[in-house]
Amino acid sequence: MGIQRHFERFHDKIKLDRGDAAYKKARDRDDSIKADVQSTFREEGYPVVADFIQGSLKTGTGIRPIVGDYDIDRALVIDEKKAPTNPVTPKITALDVLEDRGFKNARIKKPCVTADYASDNVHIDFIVYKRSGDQHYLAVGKKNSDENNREWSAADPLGLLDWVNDIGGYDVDDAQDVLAQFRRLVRYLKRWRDVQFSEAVAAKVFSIGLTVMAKERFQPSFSPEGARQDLTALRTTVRAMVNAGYFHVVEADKYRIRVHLPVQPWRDIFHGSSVDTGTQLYNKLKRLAEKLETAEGLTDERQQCEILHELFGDDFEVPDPPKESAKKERANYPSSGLVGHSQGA
Amino acid sequence: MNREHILSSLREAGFDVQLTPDTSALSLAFSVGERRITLVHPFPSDLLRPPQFWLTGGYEDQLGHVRTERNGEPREVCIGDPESTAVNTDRPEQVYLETARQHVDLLTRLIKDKTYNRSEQLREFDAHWEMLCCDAEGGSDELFVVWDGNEVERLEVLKPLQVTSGSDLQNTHIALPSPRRPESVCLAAESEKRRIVGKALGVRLGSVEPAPMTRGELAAWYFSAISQADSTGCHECQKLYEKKRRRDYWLVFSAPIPDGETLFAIRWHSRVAGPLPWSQAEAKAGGWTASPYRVRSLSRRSLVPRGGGSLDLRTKSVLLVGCGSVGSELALRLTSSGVGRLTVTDSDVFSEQNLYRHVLSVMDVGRPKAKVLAREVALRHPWAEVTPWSMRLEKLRVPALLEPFDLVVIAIGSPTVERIFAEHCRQEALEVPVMNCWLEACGIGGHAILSIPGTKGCWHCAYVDPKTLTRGLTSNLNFLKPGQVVMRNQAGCGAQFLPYSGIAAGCTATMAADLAVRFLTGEVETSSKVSWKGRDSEVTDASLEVTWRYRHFADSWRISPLHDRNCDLCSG
Repeated sequence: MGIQRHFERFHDKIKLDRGDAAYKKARDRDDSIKADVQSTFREEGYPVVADFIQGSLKTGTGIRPIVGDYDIDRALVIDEKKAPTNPVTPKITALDVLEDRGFKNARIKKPCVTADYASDNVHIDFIVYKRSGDQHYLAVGKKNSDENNREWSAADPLGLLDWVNDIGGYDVDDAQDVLAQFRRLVRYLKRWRDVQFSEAVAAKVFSIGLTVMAKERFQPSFSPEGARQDLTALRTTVRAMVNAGYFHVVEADKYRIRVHLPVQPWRDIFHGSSVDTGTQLYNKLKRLAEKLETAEGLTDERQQCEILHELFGDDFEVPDPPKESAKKERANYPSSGLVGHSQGA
Repeated sequence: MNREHILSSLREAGFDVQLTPDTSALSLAFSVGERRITLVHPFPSDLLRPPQFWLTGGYEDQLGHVRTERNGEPREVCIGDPESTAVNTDRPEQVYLETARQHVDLLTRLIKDKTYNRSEQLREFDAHWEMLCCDAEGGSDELFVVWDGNEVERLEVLKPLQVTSGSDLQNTHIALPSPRRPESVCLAAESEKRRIVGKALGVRLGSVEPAPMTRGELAAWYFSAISQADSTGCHECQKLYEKKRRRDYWLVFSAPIPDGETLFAIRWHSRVAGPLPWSQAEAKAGGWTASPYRVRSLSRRSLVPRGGGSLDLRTKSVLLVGCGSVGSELALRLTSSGVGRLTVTDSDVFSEQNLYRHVLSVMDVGRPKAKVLAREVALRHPWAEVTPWSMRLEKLRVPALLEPFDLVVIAIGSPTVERIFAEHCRQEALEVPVMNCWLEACGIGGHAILSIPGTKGCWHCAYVDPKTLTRGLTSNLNFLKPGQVVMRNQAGCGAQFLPYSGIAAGCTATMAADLAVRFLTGEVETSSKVSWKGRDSEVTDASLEVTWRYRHFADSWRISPLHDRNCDLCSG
């Protein structure tokens, strides 16, 4: 059947879209808590003028967690003229609402307010911005940050979404197919991370970091007939990521990773990340590329799947060895009954 | 062209050159040993070809690359084919300088090196023989010969018809094998029922001397040459002409020369009938005169390679299914490449609607396509054995019918029937390689796939749907997206047709034939595919959509592997 169909079965298992049934509880929880936060912000004098989903659900790169929570990244935008001077103020307001609504572990992190709703496996991040015209400013600061450690920092959350979803570099007729392949690759990489790293390190290999690296180094691959070739695309993209200069040698076989946001504020996504994280990511990405190369060189699909199973976990299934009798007649018939053709002689 | 400038340039380079008093020509002299060789060059009005020099004095004997002239006239020197030489008309002095050097170098070597001179004379045997055949009026005696120059062959000489506006074949003596073969050549030459005027014998010589310069030397040259014939040739010659008393004897010879082979003929004629002379004395006593004939060979061995065909394909047997626009062109391409046995099959009759994209003519309208195509192909390529059948592809699902062929070529443009046939071949594990070829509407392109049993890649590989990765109903090689209305209609239901041109059919057929020939000659050993891509202007006008493959395709005519990794049959 070809390795591509195994990739697509794997993709069907891991992909997560906002409309998926599995995400319904998280979505419902998001909708209701968002209404409460908006109401409280309004009462506090800085009404929410816009809100949007940030992150992988907006870029079509979300995956189901192996274990743990469904993430929600909810951006709340208030008007600059009504925004409090202290950027932590609206974050405290959001924190209070979350705690009142039964969320656990609610706390203010530097870029967001975060909390869990354990019974529904929901983890929510509220990111607060103020807006002046098209310019957004992120509310940066923790609950007790002093003036030197809090600010309204220029940011471009919508620009980042547009950048990830951009298809301008591709032929207009191919763009949707190419973008879809990119999204599948990011999902593969994120699942690979969740399988290959400890939970603590995986949490530091940020999804946005993998996404930016993959986007910048993306090498689409399709057969001459236009059939998707995800294995080749992933292999060449990962190899390009390894060689792209994101990893900086700090001493022999030790690396620090540096990946800059492609939009304002252009900061290093991995700022403050440890050498251990950088080294592990470098070594594991390199091994990923090597394993993908090995798999690509094989002709036996079962052997290919065994390697990919090892890389991506149980959702990448290894097919049972076919019985000889069944193998001969394992036809893969077309689903259409009739179709117009253009052939003649 | 400044003649003085040319002269001074030549002199500066050390050549001894003079202008003739009327400045119409240039003379050039140089020494070879004790000899002083002189050449002359009449200036042309335009320098359209390299300047020609004529040998006027200093050497009388025969030389390679020097034309034989009677009556001591200047002899033209040939330094190469002028048609294959580009001339720098902006620098005539440079052209003259290089040409003069080439003439001097060539003649010096020919005069000094006897072995080289003899070898070059033999290389030019045909040209010298042709000169010998020229009569005083500039005409020449010619003989068409159907003989491959290999085995001793008994031939019959047919008289020319002398038809006004007739073809060369009609108005020239022709020597045909007795009994006749191959049929088509003999039929073409005999179609006007010509009278047999003599017997001839084709004899192969082990070697040959350079052609004689004059007819006066021909008899002596002949008796020397005949001594080179092998024993079989002499024996056959004696057997044929023993105890015969004739006034005409025809002898056709083949002989090896550098780079190839020559054929030439001699006719012995006497006013009084007698036996074939075997010595100069007998010839003189019997009043025999030898006349040289230029042989125009109708031999497979010479004409097939001369036309770019391969003699290795003469034993190959191909079944061509479909005698439409692509199939008819394909039949001609295959046989022109040297394929010796072609069976063409089609159950259809030729229609006037096919005229402008088919090789058949209006005279064939209403006739069975396969039958008239077989006739047409055999006339064009006489050594091809072409057999017409009238079976459709679906009726050919009989292993015994297919197994004798080296290749089955399908040119019907019907994916449904081709799918059924491919399934049959797979289930029966047929060992016969199958090629399918088709074109697409509006000149967007054409394709050919070759499935060789035992190698990776099958018909289904070309039909894996790139979107669903399952078996599709239309080929993944196609340049037009499936499910579009491409047929055109001139007169309601039943009169629909696929719009494409004879050019598109010709391109597809030529490309498919190329793949077939590369397979038959052993160059292509694995299942393969090939496409040509046309412009999309007509497709755009018709608001049709093209495929991913069309947009990205840049490998027209490049043969690539057929195997598709997503084919469940090949990758299971």
